[in-house]
Amino acid sequence: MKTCQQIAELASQYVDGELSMADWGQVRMHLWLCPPCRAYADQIAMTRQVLEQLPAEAVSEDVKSELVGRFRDWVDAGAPCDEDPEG
Amino acid sequence: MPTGRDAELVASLIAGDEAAFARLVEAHHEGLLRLARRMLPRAGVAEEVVQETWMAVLRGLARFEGRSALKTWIYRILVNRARSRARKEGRSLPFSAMGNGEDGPMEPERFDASGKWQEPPSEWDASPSGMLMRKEMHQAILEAIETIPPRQAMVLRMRDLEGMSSEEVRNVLEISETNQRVLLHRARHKVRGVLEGYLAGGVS
Ligand SMILES: [Zn+2]
Repeated sequence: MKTCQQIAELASQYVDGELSMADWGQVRMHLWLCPPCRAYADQIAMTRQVLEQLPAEAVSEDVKSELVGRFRDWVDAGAPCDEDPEG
Repeated sequence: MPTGRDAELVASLIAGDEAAFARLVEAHHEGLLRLARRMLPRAGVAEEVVQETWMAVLRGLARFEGRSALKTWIYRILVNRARSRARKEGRSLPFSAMGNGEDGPMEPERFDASGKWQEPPSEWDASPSGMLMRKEMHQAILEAIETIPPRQAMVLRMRDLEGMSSEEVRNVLEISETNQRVLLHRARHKVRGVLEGYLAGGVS
């Protein structure tokens, strides 16, 4: 049997659908019987939704036009693709 | 070869489509920058690394094989460059050390010795979109993301703000499945706590 604390630790995986079948069943049963854990899991799900719905943070026009300028230079140079970006 | 929308985008970039590049910058620049700042807090350094990243992305486009989404590939390039920059600056990296106290138990005081809730979550009477409409809550959420520990914030940004999968995040940050999972949940737990502060009527 898992404790409320252990169930709370699994809440993100639960709401993301990332638990194994066995853990999922245990969490599901616990939530059914335990209102505080149910509230917690719902709130983690809502927190995720709020974060997902945050509007994209805007880039400033200055930075954007500078980068587009550097893109233009790259295109003018023949769009060289000769580097390992991770190297 | 890459397929689908990413492949089209890569082809447009190589063909010199300025508008396509501008859209890519609009979609990702700020997210990349805020992530980089958590690895490179000294003023101006993250900005430089993100600029370099964009140029590295362009010069490396031929190496994009479409095994991951283009976005994930760009984040990976950023994180690798930020890592080597931090190493040069002699900074200890958020990802080099184990633990950093970022993955200890969460709010153990809310549970009793037997693991039962001692201080159970309060009831919420609000929808996610309703929360975002409240300007002070919206602001508080953004601030919370900036104040949670760096590794947690990075995982949260990639998973929940950028919509990457756990596998993609592990691939970008080179961390274990367990680590990814713990960092994400700690981060969400903290943002949840901020929301709770508002919805329980403590702050309004
Ligand atoms: Zn419980």
